[in-house]
Amino acid sequence: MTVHSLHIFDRKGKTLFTKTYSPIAVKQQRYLAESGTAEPGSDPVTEQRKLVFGMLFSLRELVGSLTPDHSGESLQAVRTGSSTVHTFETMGGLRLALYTSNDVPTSQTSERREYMDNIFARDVLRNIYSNIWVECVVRSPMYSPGEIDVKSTTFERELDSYLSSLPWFR
Amino acid sequence: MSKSGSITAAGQNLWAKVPKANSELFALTYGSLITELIRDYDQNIPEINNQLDRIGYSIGVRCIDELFAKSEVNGVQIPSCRELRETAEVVAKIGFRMFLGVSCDVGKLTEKSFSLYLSENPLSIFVELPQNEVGVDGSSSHGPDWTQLKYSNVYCGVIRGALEQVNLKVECEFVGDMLQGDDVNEIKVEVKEVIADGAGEDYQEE
Repeated sequence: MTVHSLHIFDRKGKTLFTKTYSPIAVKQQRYLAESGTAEPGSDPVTEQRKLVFGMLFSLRELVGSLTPDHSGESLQAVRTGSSTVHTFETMGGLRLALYTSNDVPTSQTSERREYMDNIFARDVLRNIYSNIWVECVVRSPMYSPGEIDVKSTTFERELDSYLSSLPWFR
Repeated sequence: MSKSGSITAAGQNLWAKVPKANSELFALTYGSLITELIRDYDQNIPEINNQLDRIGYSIGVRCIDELFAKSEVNGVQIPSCRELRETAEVVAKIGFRMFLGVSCDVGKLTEKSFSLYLSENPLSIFVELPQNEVGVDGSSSHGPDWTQLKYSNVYCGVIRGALEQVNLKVECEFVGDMLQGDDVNEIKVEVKEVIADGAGEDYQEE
């Protein structure tokens, strides 16, 4: 069980915060940065992040058009062969994306019942938003939506200590 | 009507959970803010109203996150708003209750606008506005026109800021103020535009 990285986007897709945790994800990012597949002038790692935001955005639209009644949370996670992106979107348009390995449970409703008393990724994201983001960033006097240097707040420190306390952090 | 009841309950529930400040201190602090503004802007009343709206706006954009976060933490369900009526109810019954401990009523609901009626205004306790100065000749007055002052205009900004964060561009106006002798405090909220979700310039350029 591993947490690879965390991205936070605002409503318009601007990256407000990004941090890579696991060594394997750091390695992948370094490889990506060096291989330089993207067009000149743009950073491949940024490109990748944009891709992720774009995918989450379109998937949400898709899910919305497939759901007859709009009740219930729409998109929860995207799973591939080797890793999962857990996502949480607030009504204000803030979007959190947490990359983990596949064995991290998304939420209570996922079929894998053996995790009944585990901590679920969506609850973690919800907690990051309610208890860390709002406390550290929104309440910062420098905050104005979309324009804040998150690095200058205590957000990162609080986030690190919270994430590393999780049973599935490493 | 059970839905409206649950909104009221949610508001009460959240009010019970938030830390409270002394209401008299709050009102007096706000009063001194107003006097400071009057001094700073040289009794230019329209400008003071503008500044109050701006202050409120900055409060509003933070309030909304606070409201969502608090409701997540305390497991209070805020119903998702599909119609303007629901939005108005949430502003009146949850927003005002959670941050100010008062609730207000929704009225004059149309497709594009609604009015909020505040029967009690925690900002304006102890407040009495000065009378307009009357000139020596009895007709023309000099000095600021106090009837123009929207003492609690900060509410308008708060509502505007908060709703903008949930994709509603609104315009707010204080149309009735008990300080000016009206029967009830009335805030008129008019929806100008529903902002479309979508990737913005930052996404394209970054």
